[in-house]
This record gives sequence, structure tokens and C-alpha cells, in this order.
Amino acid sequence: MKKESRTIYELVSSGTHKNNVALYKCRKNGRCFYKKVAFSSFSNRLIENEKKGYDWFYKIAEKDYQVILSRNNFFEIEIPEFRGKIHPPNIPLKGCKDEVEIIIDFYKKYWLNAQPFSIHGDLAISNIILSDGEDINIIDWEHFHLADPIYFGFDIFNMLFIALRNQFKKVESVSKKTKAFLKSCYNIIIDGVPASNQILEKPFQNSSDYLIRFKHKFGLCVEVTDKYALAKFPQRELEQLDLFIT
Amino acid sequence: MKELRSKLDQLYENVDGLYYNKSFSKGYWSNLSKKEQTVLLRNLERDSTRNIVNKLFPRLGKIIFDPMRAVGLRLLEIKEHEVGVDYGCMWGNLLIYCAKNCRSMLGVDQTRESLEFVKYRLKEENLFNCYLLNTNLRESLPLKGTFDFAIVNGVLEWIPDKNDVELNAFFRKNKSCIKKHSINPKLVQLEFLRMVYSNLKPGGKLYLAIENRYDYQYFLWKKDPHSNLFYTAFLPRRIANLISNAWYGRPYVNYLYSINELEQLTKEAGFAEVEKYAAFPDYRYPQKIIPVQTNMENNFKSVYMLRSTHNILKRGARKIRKILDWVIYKKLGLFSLAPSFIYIARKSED
Repeated sequence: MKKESRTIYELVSSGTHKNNVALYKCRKNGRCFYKKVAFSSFSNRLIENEKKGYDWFYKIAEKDYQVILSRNNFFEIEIPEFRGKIHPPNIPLKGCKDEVEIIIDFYKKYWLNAQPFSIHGDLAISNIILSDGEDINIIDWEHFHLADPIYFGFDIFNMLFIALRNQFKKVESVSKKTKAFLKSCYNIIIDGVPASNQILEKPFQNSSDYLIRFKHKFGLCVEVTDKYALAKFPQRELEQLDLFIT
Repeated sequence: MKELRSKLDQLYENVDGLYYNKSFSKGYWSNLSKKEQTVLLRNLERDSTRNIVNKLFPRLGKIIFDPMRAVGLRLLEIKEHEVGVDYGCMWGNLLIYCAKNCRSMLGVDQTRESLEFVKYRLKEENLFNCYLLNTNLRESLPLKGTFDFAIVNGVLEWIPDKNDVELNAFFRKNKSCIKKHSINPKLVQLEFLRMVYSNLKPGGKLYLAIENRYDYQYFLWKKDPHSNLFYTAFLPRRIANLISNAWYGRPYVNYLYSINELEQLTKEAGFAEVEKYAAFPDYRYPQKIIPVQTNMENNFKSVYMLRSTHNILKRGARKIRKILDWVIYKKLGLFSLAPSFIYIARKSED
């Protein structure tokens, strides 16, 4: 076997939140791609679920990509590499406002009337790849699950909260500028959403409630409060945030 | 599988599911003392291995059971039809991962008690494609051309050490050297690698994981984990010898190598090609494995398995280390100063 046809691996991450899944960046014959590999029987389910997430996304966004699932003793998926801007996990909200607006438009375009409706479950800005021309690819579908459309908006407010937490530790410290930005995001999201929606009346509180009520759907290997800051943030502070923006 | 079993049946004695080398006098290498091992094995009749270990020796839970210790083995691309060997399999963590992914595995270890423990684990995991062999790794294993892949994980540096090693007690000062060491540790290691090579089929692969002699932290604050002394890892061998003799009354034999020295060693053993990877924070619990000397983008990120602390000095030290890591590995790309290496060495197809 020639050297060039061998796969070169780079271990990118290993067992985040005890999920027993490893992510490798691979290169073979000049082509780059990713492999997500299970290392336990339980994490086989996570891999399979992630494949469902990608399939759902590619279908509704009409993207011509494919994620390949191999069902060996330990499952693995092969994910294409997407070129574009990737943000670090700890990016604060102030560093990505333009991107957030693009993402919200994208989310409204594809999720509002999606059949079936779904929750990504970890729609942090670091899991969204923006290429030139505003094409968006979303990765890390491990916590994907189908849901009632009345929970439209959960992913966006979870995303906003993650970015906000990277910037402010306490609600009192949130600047006027940031509050104004959050309000504008809220106005974009709420436009055209049915009155039956269960998130948008109190977006941060209701998103936190969703996490706690439906934690079994997220396929977590740790407590929901260990993974999601939104789930453990004090309710009264979330209430304050909601008052700012609604 | 039958072929491996018949070879083992011809060469070794099988007692209660363990193969023994009759000419081998007992050896010992373990995180536990012999007394603790006895307690562990006695209790395994009563409960699962996981419950017993968590109850009696919780500090070993991660090293024995964490499946993520096997992330480096993905580099081997183990196939279902392949037959593998784990030299120095100890608690069986990597052995079990491989066994779930290949046709059959041989686990070799000098510590009978470890293999007894692995027997229990294999039973719990419903794995019937593993064989266990109790023998000395310094002796030749005449299993020429048997294996598709071999694992030598944290073992090469211990091959020249003929002492029984109860790890916690091994670094007590002035512990007498009770056995003579090999005259030339490098030669012993080379002989071992030649044996590993010989036992591989044409095209077979070796997974070799070891600490780096020139991990930059050894120059600063990190002790050599094999001697528990400062500087012995990278100092000239004669000086390391002097230090070890002065402190422990025994020579320094746990040779580590630089990135190029290790490549040279594997090629001297016969391997045709070597793929080199740097492992962070080390090869035992890799969280980042980065290919060395390729055209791939440098995505290094400092990773350590740390408990949070309020101690200002500790936090300060960690920050300094993070900055040094960034400069050395990310900015300068000096993976020759990485903490550990993982090498995938291949035997030629001919």
C-alpha cells in the first residue's frame, strides 16, 4: 500500500462530557474529512443519532453532502470538512454579532416550517461554520432529536446564552448595547411565529425549562447542569434577561 | 484464531485458561503491591471487577476501565479479520478494546496476577477471542509471522528493568537493587523490538507509545516518571546512572528516546516505515494526537486533565505552562519536545 493512500489521523477531541466519543481529523489522498468514533456500546447510540441529525439538516437545507455511518463493533461516522470561519468555544457575544444575525435568519428560514421539526441541542456558535457568501454548515448533531414545533427558538436562545455567558458572569453586568442587540434578535425570531410557541414568551426561562424537562432526549452522559450553563443559571436572573428583551 | 491457539498449545502450558512459559521465573510489575493484588483477586469472586476496584482501589478505576485510553489505537485501523498482540497488557484495557474490534488477541504479561484479573474482565465482557500468556518479555516469543498488529504501550522503557516493580514502593530511596540489570538497556530494547517485528506478518503494524526523552517539562519541573528523579530522562546516560546509583543504589535503565532516536531504533529493528505522532498530555490518556512532520495545519491546543484549584501558585504555574505549551507547540511547532510519542511502524509487505 502506497504511503499516500494511508489515512493520517489527528485526534481533535476525546470524550467530552464523558460521552466516550472521539473526533479525528483525517487526511487521505489530499482530501480532508472528520471521523467521529464511538468507544463504548452506549456511545454507538450517540453516533447513530448524530448521523440522523446530519441527514435531517442536509435534507431540509437541501445540501448535497453525505455523512457515512459504519456499524462496526464501535460505530463511526465520516463527516466532510467544511471550509469557512469557525469560532472558538469561548467566543463572547460581542465578537460575533454579525454572524448571529446570519444564523438567526438561517434558522428561521429552515426551522420555522420544517417537517418534522427538530432540536439541534448544542447550537453554539463554535458548531456553526460560515463560509463566504453566507453559506452555513452546522456540525455536532450528537444531541439532535425531533420535537414539537412549539419549541421553535430553543436552539437560538441556547446559543445566545452560551455566547452571553462567555462575556458576562452576572446579568447585572450585561451592557445596554448587548441588551439592545438581544432585543433585536428576539424581534427577528418572534416575527411570524405562531402564538402557541412555548419558548418565546420567556425565551431564556423557557429554554432552561425545556432542557430540564426533556433532558432524556439529549442523550447526555452527564447531568444536564454539567453540560448546559442555561440549565443551572438561577431562574430569577433568567427572568431578568427575559424582561430586558421581551 | 485456531492457528494462534494451536501455536500457543504447542509452545506453552495452559493452566486454567492462562498460558505459561515453563522456563520463566515469576516477574512482577504493577500499580498495586503483591499484597494488594492478593486482596483484589480474592474479592473478585464476590462482585464485578468494576465494583471491586472502585471499592478497594478507586484511584485505579480510570486506568483500568476508561475506554478513552484506547483513542490512540484508532491509528492502527484494526480490521475485523486481524489477529493482534498486546505486549505488557497489564489490566487489559487496550487488549479488550482490540478484542472487540478484531478476530483474536494475545495478551502477554510477566505478572500472573494481572492476567488473572484480565481473565475476570474478559468473562464480564463476554470475550472469547483472547488468549493470555504469562512470560518474560525479554525472552523470545517464537510466534513468527503470527500477528497483523502489535501493541507496545508504555512498555519499552521497562523492558531492561529486571526488578519486581510495585510502583508505589519502587521509588523509595535506597531500596536495594535485588537483581542485576541488563548491561546495555538499549540493546535489550532493540532485541525486544526485533522480536515484535519478527512476530508480525508482512505488512503488520506496531503501535508503540512511550514518553519523550526531551519533553521540555523534564528540563523544568517534571520528574522522570520511571525513576521519580529530576533530569535523568534527558541527561547523558552515564550521568543518569550516577544519579540513580547514588539515590537508589541501582543503575538507570529505563531508557527513553528522542523523536529521531526512536525512529532509528524502530528502523534498526527492521520496520520499513514509521508514522510519528505527538500525544498530549501523554500517551496514557491522550486528548490530542498530532501527526508530526506532515503538511496538516497545526491545531495544537494545550490540554491537561486537571482538578480545579483555588491555590494561586498552582493556578499561576498552570498558566505559565499553558503559555509555554502555546509558544513551543503551536507557535514554533516543536513537537520534538512533546510529552509523549505514538509511533505506527510498519513491516514491509515483502
